[in-house]
Amino acid sequence: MKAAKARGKKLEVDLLARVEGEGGLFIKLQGGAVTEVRFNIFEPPRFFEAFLRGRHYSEVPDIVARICGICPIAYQMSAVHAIEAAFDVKVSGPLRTLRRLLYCGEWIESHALHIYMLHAPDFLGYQDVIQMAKDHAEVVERALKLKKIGNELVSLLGGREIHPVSVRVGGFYRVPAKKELVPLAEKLKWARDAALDTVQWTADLPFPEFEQDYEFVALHHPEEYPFNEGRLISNKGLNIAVREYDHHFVEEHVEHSNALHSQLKVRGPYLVGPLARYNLNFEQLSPLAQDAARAAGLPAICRNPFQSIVVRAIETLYACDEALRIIEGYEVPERPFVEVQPHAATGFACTEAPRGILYHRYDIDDNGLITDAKIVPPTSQNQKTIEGDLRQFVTRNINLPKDKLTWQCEQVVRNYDPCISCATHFLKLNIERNEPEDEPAVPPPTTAVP
Amino acid sequence: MRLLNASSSPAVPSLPSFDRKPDLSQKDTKKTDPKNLKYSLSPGEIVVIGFGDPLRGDDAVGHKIAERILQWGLPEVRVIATPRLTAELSEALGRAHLAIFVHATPPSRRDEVAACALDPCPSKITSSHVEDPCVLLSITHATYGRYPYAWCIGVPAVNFDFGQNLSPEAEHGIGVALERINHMIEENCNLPV
Repeated sequence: MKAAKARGKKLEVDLLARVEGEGGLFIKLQGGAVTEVRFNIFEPPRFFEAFLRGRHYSEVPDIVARICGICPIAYQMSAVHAIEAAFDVKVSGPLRTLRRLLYCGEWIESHALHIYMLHAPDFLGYQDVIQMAKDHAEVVERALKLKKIGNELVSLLGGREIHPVSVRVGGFYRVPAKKELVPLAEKLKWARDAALDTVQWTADLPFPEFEQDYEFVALHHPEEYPFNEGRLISNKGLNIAVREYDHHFVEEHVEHSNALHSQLKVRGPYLVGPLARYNLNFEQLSPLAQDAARAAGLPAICRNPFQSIVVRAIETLYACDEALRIIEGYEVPERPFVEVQPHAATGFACTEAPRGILYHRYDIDDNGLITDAKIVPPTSQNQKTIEGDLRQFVTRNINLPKDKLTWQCEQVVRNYDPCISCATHFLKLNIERNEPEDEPAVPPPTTAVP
Repeated sequence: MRLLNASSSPAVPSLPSFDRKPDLSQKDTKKTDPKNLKYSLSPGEIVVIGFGDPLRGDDAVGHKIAERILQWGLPEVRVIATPRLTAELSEALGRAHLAIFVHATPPSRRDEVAACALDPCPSKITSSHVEDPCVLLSITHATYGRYPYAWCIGVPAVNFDFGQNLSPEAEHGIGVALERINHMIEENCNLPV
């Protein structure tokens, strides 16, 4: 397609597949510059925070799990940690370790889904994974097996793979016997090898040259790659306890989105997710994952969001490695949960969902009833950064043919694996150009197009 | 998709998700005695997938039917019970000659057990689970180069409240569905390989 044709006034994609939720994009160009970018999220508000008011704290983990079918563990983990923080309960030892194991299962399942089924088709030029499977059957087969093993881990610990039911405040309703974990260990050894192959496979994909000076925000724990605990840090000086979150971050409503935009009060947009975790916690990765990252040619600080697919593969490898470590050392807890005594309090927690930090805050009364709740999902936090990426990407690549530009704008969004159960199903992209058809808008593209 | 030993923790509801072939040492000999079977076993594997939420009243009919079929002890039949359909089920479908999906359907004008033949249909995958068995057939076809003959059986259901009790309508539908599945398995040996 000729570039001139791409400078039509409007570029439209009715359906952006491989994301969840309902939303759209509007990009306006004037005088060779991008003057407006709107990541429209028009999926109706889901009111979960309102649903929670008046409910007993013990119901919260099962209610919030329904927010998302991909990352229900993340919602459960943030909820139970926030409520336990309110009640001054510390879950430690094997129960704490089991929670890490459960999160490993969700990361494996979620990352395998996104790497192979949602993101890889972008790089290889397929509309979806079904088309991709016709030419890369063995790759999709590997994805399905990896995803299945992640789900089996979630199913064993959580009772079922989608919207698990075994998580409770203080621990679990049921914990597995050691012999139940043994068969999974064998499968996880295969998964670890498959994840290693995945790192190498993703590293060979063609990445557009696109680096940005992001503020990465993630949990940081001195001794382990973060799942459930740690301080919130950034590469630009943020270093706070989770309970200080509301002092540093603010949510605002914008007209074009039903999802609140989150930003740092002082510095504005920031990035959460695998890229942030990796950049802020490289030393906490297992040696195997670190070696795999180096072998893949990934720098210790990665600023190209298109390479998030490699980082997800490294985190999948880490999750398999960590799960095996936990299973090998597993001792059945004496009790599946610790007792909780409710009292009026406010609790805060942040955990690392596959897509980034997930913040929960609950106000609870003396009867253990929720009086107020605040939930900030990762996609909400990344919205402004996604819009910033689109602005930069379109500016640099304005001369790309229309279909390639459209394709890569969608890819820019999918770099973030937007969890659109929490935000957007289909995306409509409109690019409006108010400039002459034959006027070069910006310098030639620097992007390597697959 | 596995059977949890819920007895070790009375606080946990029974979650009979599983992916099994029958344990022939535990089989119901009355039902699996060849004299009581009306058919010989199939030329290829059969997979029965019961899906639905076992904690939401009649939505458990898929699980209940799967449990009953497991008790038949048919060695060629792989029985799976799961709350949701997931893409990785295509691995089982890729090996099967016949697939039977069974689940609860909301009340409609036709309050009877209905079976419809399925074909692969292209669709988008955006989540960890899929809503339509036809999408699973598409994934199976693309990944494994084949897909099974497939049927979907809907059992009319009236109660989707929390709980593990079935309505009389659902109980009746289970019996009808089992007869229908029995017949499908019987006919399977006549399907071209």
